[in-house]
Amino acid sequence: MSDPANGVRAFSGGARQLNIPVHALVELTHRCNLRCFHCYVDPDERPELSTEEVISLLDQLADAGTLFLTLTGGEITLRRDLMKIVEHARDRRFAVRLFTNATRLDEATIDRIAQLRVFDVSVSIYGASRQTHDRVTRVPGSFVRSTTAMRLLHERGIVTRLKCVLMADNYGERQGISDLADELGAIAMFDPQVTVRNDGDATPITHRLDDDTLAEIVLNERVHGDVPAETPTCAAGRDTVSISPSGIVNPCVQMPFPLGDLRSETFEQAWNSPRARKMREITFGRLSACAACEDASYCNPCLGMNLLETGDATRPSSSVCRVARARRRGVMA
Amino acid sequence: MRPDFPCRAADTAFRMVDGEMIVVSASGSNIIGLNETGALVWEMADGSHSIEEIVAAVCATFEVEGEMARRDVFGFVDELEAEGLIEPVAEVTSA
Repeated sequence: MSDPANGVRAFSGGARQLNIPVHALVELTHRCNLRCFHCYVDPDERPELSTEEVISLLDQLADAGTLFLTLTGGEITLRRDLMKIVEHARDRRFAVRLFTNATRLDEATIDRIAQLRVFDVSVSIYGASRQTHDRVTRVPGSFVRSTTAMRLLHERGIVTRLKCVLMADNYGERQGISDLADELGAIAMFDPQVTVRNDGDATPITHRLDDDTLAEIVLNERVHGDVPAETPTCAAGRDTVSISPSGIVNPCVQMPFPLGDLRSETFEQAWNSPRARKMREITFGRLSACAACEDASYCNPCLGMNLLETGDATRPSSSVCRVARARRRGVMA
Repeated sequence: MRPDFPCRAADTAFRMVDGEMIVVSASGSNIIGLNETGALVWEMADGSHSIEEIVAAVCATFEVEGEMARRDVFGFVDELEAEGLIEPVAEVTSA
């Protein structure tokens, strides 16, 4: 097993059949010090889970079989108890991943992250230049602060990923962004998928790449062959779970389909709730509108995006369809 | 060199999932699954148990004969060390 990503997939495959939430994404806060114009977050109006409630959640996730724990936001460093949470997560032997804009990571925090053997830190960067990145984040100085922290993360031996959503606004800099990642010792990860906000607001997708540009960057490859009707469409709610800052349990961060509320029930109750079972009934066979689509074998359906865009998890989202279409037209491998 | 007191590498994460101990390390490229015996060795490999104590625990738990258990545990610890999942033994240098 030389490629760790293959290992994760093989391992997750078994967990998915057993409905074990091996991957959990915990949104610690929806507060953020940046104002990125494409952000999908629809701020949770309820109070955030307290430190004790987050610690209890981590204990429950460990008991449920979660191994990979992603802490994300908003901006996670806005929580003063962040390192206490990370310390507990490592005590419980999670493989901890942090998603941050890194603007508030100081040297002492980075040293502690290294000491705790956090698996990796992903930092959002939206341009190769200060001008482009700060235009997206709408906060002057954010590029310099983020990249300064990334250099330090790399110096401390922490696996660092540069995550970039490719949009019409930064597409011209993608080579530069890739070069920047090399210079910072980071792994560049590009994602052309801009999604609607989690409240259905479509403003973010006005920034997405046009169809022709999209076809320039995606590989012309089928992502699966004929799929038996009973095959699950994705990992959401099967081996993947997402928890909102106030403790709402969702199948995926982009699928606001509450399975339960940690303020009134346990994680186990939410994970095994009637709604969870209902969503697990959605398989390829239920995607009737997709059955005859000529792009079907180029498509990874996303129930969350379907739900957000159409109000029905089984009706195809235009964003997913256009990626599948682009893949059919895309560049040859 | 095989450690007398095996200790899991600090950068590992692990979880028992459906009866299998899944182990992953930040620096390594592998995700490995351990069976019941491997899981017992892994759980005891916290630096506070000697390798002979681990052998004795395997014998007692799985009713296997001592020599066979010793051979298996030693071989398994060697494998884990080769994978970087067990802390290497510190070199002792004389002044």
